[in-house]
Amino acid sequence: MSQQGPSVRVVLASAFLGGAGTMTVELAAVRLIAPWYGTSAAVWTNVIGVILLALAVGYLVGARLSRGPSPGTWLGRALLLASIFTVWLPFGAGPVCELFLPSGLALDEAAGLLRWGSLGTSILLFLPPAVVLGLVGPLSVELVMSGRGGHAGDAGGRVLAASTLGSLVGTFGTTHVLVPGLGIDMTFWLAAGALALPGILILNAGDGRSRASAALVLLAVPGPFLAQSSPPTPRAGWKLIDQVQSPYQVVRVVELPAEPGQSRGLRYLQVNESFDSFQSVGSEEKGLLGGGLYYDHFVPPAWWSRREGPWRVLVLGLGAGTAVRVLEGCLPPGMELSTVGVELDPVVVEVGRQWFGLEDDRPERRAISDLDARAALRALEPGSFDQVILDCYANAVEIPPHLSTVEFFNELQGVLRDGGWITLNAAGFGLEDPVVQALASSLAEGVQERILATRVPFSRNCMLHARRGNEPPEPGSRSWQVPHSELARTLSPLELPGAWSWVAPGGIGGTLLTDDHSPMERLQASSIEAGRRRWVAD
Amino acid sequence: MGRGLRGAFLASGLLLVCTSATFQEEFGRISEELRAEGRFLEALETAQQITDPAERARACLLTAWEAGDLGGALRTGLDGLEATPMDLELLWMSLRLSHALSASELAGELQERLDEAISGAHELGPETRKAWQEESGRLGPVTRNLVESSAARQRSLWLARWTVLAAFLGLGALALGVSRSSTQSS
Repeated sequence: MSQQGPSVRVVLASAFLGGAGTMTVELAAVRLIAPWYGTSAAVWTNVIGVILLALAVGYLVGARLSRGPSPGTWLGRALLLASIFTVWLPFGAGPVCELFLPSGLALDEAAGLLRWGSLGTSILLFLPPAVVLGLVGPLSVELVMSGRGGHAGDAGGRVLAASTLGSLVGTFGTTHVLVPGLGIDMTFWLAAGALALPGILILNAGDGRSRASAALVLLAVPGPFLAQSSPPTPRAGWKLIDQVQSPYQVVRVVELPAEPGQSRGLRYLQVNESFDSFQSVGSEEKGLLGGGLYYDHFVPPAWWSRREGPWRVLVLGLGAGTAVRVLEGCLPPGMELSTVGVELDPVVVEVGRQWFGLEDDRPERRAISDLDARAALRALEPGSFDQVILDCYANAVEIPPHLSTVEFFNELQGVLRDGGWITLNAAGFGLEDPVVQALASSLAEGVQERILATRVPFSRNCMLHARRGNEPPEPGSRSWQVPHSELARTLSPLELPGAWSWVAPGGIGGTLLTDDHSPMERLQASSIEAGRRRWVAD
Repeated sequence: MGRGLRGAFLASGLLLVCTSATFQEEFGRISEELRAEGRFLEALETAQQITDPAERARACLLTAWEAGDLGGALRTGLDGLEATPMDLELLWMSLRLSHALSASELAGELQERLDEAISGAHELGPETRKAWQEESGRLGPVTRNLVESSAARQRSLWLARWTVLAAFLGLGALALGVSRSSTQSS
């Protein structure tokens, strides 16, 4: 380092690491708060927005500091401060998130808090390190220009190039290597270390005041030993069995208290924030689950078909395999089940094998992971399935927009034989729910047949049934009846007025979701926020 | 993905309703039997023929409840309470439903009305009155937790909004200060 400041190489390296650190914080930030807020578009927008605003302010402050006598010292201090803020982020996440999101809330009670709470959390957690990281750019430009001489554009371009390359490395490294390989906490600690190192080098090569500033690093040292993140605790009475980070989300297995006569209670697979929601359910026995669990409503088409022989089912959104276990225990006599399950997250499939009895060890039980449901359709033979079960949800509540469109439903029926069934789990607060209406309208439009919408009792779910070239039986009709007493009892409440409705193509006026325009996130937000009011109408 | 409902199922305490002498009208009995058999549509059609408004509301509410339509059951209960505002069974069932649906404001209101109705029900015998008071006492903490949870939610929302406002003001002041000192030193 020259007597005028650090060398140009050290400065450019600092800019590189500053860029990498910024992107690492930004990408890992959403995963850090996901157990409380999820990873919806609104949460991403809040985190990115706060970081961009903080960087802008950091650039302004950095510009001011660059005109002072010691830009090198300030650069070193900025890197160290950023390191200190970053190393303590895992520790601060839990308390800050719980400040804005009280524990024990149900999903609809958390409406509004997800958006504002994630914004408040982002401000308290991520704004300070991002402001400090914003100082790096202008200070680096000043140092490069004073070190090389020449034009501001030359210095600015070099610093921007180094910083952007660092951002690129940080982006890919965080997503593909650090988070899946090392976890969230270690990712932040590594980023902190990468920022601290050039900071210490720059300060140690300076004057006495600079070297004294290097002692700031001592504030970061205890971080990895003390600053582990503390994820939200399960609801009262629920026992946390397992928790793993996947490339996509936090995956949790919780167990409910056992009922009398059971050796263990039901298990739920939850992802990210979940609240009182679940992605999969595991019971000790195969067959109907009862208790308001919507999986039982995947079964009736097999009975309504009144056939024997193979029953080939495609499950999109396999999760931990609940739908398959329910079908296995409740098919008509003489019917042989063969399933293909598609699940985006391979960790969920692994958790399913370990805790939920998911079987995929033979040709009749295939599980395909790491593949999007819509992409999977293109690899499947047309007309090869009797039933498609659609149960795809990202985070706790979000139906991926591209899996809810007219075009997708039209593609979906292509893998069905004539008369084959589509059974779609539509999470929503009743048949009037905007999400349910949009899905029903789009499904009817996609298959160009009348579809049946039913409300699942004791739940916040509805079920949509469609048939290729036909339509489902009307509730209460002769063809609706099933010769299985427990299943018949499951279907009986659906015959009540208000518990079912037909939806024809162009029918009820729900928003038509298309590949070009699918406002699913807006519909889901309005569904949740109005959920409680809808239960108590007028 | 599914969303369970808390406390959705009828539990103990229903005995209070079933032993009520006012609930033994024939249609009510038949409706009850049909519900037990899982024949909910027939149970509802039978219940709708009950002449007494309070009993009709109770029977229809129970049918909707046991069929898993908790929102519908609560609406039925509230409609019934418009005609018979001091009906203990309707108040009790509506309160239980508001708990299951996390309707905190409604739960608070129904809890107060139930306590008031018990106090004002001079026709109750001492044993029955005691049973109602104990049941109301059992539900009270649930109501209070719900109300407090709603209040905590509101506080968190308020805190989040003020944090955002304070941050914008603080950053704005910082940016302004930096700009001014840059202008002065140049």
